[in-house]
Amino acid sequence: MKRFLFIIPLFLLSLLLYTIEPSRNSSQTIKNDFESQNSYVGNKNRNISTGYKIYVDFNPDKKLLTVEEKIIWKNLTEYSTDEIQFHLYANAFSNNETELGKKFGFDESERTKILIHSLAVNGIVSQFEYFQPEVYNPHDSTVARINLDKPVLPGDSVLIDIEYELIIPRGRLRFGYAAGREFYFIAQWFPKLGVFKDGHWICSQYHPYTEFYSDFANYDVIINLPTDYIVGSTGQLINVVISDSIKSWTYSAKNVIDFAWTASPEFYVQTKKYKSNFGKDIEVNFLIQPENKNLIDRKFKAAFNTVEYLEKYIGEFPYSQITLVDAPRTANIGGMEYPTIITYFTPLFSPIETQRPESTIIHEIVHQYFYAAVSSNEVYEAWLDEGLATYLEAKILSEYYGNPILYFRFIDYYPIYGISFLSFREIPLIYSLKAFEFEHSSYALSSYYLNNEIGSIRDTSYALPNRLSYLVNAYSKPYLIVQVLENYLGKDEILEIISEYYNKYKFSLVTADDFLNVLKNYENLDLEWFIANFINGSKKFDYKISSIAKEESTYKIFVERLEGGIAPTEIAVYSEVDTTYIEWDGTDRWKIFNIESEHKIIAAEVDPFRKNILDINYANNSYTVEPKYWASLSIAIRWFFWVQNSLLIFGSVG
Amino acid sequence: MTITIKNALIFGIRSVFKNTKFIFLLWGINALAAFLLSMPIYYLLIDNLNHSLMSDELALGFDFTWYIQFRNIYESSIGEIPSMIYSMFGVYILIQIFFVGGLISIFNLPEKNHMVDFFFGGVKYWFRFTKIVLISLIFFMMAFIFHDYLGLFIEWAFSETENQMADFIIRLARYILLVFFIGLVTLVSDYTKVHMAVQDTTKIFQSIYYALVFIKINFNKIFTVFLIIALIGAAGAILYNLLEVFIPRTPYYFLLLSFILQQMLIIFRLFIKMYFCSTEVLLYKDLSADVIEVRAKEQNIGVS
Repeated sequence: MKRFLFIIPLFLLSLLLYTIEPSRNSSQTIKNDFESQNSYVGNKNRNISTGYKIYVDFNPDKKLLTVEEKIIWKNLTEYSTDEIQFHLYANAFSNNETELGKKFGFDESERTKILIHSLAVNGIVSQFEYFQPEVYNPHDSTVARINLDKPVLPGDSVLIDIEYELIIPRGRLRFGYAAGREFYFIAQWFPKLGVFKDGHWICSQYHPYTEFYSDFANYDVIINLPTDYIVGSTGQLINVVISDSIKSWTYSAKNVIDFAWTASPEFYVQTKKYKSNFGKDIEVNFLIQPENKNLIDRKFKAAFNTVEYLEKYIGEFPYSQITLVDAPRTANIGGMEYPTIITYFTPLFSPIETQRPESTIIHEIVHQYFYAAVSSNEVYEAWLDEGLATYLEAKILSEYYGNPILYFRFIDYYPIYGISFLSFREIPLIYSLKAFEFEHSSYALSSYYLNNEIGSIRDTSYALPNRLSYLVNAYSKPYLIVQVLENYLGKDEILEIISEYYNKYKFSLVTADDFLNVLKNYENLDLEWFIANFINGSKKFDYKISSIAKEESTYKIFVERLEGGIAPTEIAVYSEVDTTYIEWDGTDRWKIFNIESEHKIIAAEVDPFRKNILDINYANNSYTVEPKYWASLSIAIRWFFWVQNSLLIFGSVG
Repeated sequence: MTITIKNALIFGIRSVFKNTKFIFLLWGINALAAFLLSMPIYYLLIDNLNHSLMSDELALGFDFTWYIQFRNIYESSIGEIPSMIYSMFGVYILIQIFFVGGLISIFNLPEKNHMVDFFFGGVKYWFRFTKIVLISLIFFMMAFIFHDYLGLFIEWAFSETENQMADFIIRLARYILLVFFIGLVTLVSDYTKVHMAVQDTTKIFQSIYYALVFIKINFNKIFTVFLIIALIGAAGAILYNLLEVFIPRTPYYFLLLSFILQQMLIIFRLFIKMYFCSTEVLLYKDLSADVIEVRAKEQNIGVS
């Protein structure tokens, strides 16, 4: 009998284990299956230090996300660390004293906060310590650290378990629901690791104007939500399981820097395959608002044109699918990029001449190359991806759609071709109704002129003093600078440089220096002057020909550099019969060029091919010996007529 | 017999044609005011383009990049222009009040339509009409304030709805309402002036009340005439725009042709302005006149 006594404690132990096992439903089973795949780190992709497994229940009635998140982080660097830093971007919406809240102000419906229920590191209960790495603000809890008991040595791994809830706020700044309809865009919604690089963490707060920066990781995400909802997400859909009234969507995203998703029962879904030049099919999914179905062909065309152009000039499209989400107006999302998923807005009146929504679709798809695949720090060097995306957007628009036509919107909606010179209460008073074409760079120039003094593109992006200086230094100016480089080197050459940069750093974290190194090494060209004056400098450019004086058979051409920016240039000297070009390094503040000419010189022009589009005044680039009145008179007469009409309208009051 | 719409239009246009010389006076003042407002722009353009090859390019066509550069370079000078324009609008309105007084005088007394009457009427009614205009301006201001609040209300009402088309239509209706209200105030203001001039009264509020009653009673006729003349005016503007497209920018004589065409449109619009005025006087005088029914009785007196 004694021989069998050991069975009793065994039986009791089994009974105990049975009673503490939590009850399981079918979703739980799915979750366990998902966990058992255990493909966190480095299986398929080199240098992937992080794996996320996220299991989320979405309750649309309560607008509530209930999340279980597991992170495995492996220290693949040669440095050890005794802490782990996290982004908790959603906490930016927690009050109006956060860095984001101070600028934008959120009402009650727009606020939310990550409500942590449990946090454990390697199974040991832990807690977040909030801090502000860049701007001290005790109300800002968008960055937190976990202090570890023992350091994570090179090659070691850490397992972090987080359970939390997050109320989805009303849409504001890329995250939230669309008021008045069932549309949810879920971005920056989970605690995400900072980047551990060179022995320290790079983990920025959620600053008002800048975007994000994270490391490449593998994501396995299960989203549970009501069956009538349609989901679009980063990564590939692995399977969909329906159980009772819940549908579980399983996604897997490998080697991506972020994970965002959207859900709505109203989406009109269309999918087409794009045959890549690199032998793969790219799945292009459009999640369209029902009222915007009519533009679906244009949208597909924009997406296909973009991929075609980028594959032709830059390199292979980095993913095998992309989802394009038509964000409703009340979501306040606009255009935004995430790996393999982007958002854009469709204006009510979108004639093709306005090139909207094409421009946004193109811009965000370009970000799959520069942001998603070649990933730079958008908090510190926003210009690097935004500048290239804006430049390539302009190239693609020019290639497939030509120049846009100037328009202003009547009652905020209806595009009217022409220019409104003077308006009162949105009512145009002095205007010209004509279809004026313009170059894409002109729009960028118009914003550059609004802020051509504050900051350079190399300034730390988040520290720029206002939204305009951020937009100019992140978007307009870098685009214009790349355009200047194209004007100097040639279009094929600049596309080759960008292609080299992309292919060299695809699926890597980069800095501006990486881009500049590619630039410097390109065919051993001396581009130091360009980097010094255009990229690193913030000076303006203005060259002027002040006079042409004749002394016997010598013409003295007096050229000035009015601003601090220096660019080598040509000077064209026009005589009655021919044109002579003179090379000038553009360094001197002023210079007199003596030209011997048998023929009468009628004009001279500095930078005659307008290579330096950052020159703030083209009109003074040239000087004609004979004065010119014609254009002044012509424009003044038009102005005179417009004013006459306005006087008649206002005079009718009398 | 009260006047018909057709007769109002015919007699109105005859009155205008009889007084065409005043159109040129109105045109001259309009051109002078516009000239004063154009000179600063002209000098900025000369400063920018006087010795520039850009001048040749602009003579051929509009260059948006040059335009934004020009705006940027002369930002502070250009920033002064709206206030200059609004100031000139104020002065111009005061001059127009004078002209309206003169025009009503000559249309009121067609047999004496000469210069002296015009200027005498202008001076005589200027102060009264200025008061009317000031009252109108209060209403315009109220209309704009209402317009603004309505805009905020629409924004609030549509902040949680996705129906952009409904939003657009309601915003459009808001503008139409504003234009309608401005038109109504202008109409009341015009008939008040006519009443004050014809009746030679200085009682402003009584005149406004009378004009309101008058418009209410005769709304169909008044509004139809107003609309027909407005449509004639719009047709002229459309015709100009159709023709203007075909006029090239160079050589110089095309600029001259374009200028002539522009001035023809301005003169036409002044003609329409006078046409409004003449029909208003006609309609007012006819429709406000007392109708006396005379019954003649045939009698055989002294006839055998």
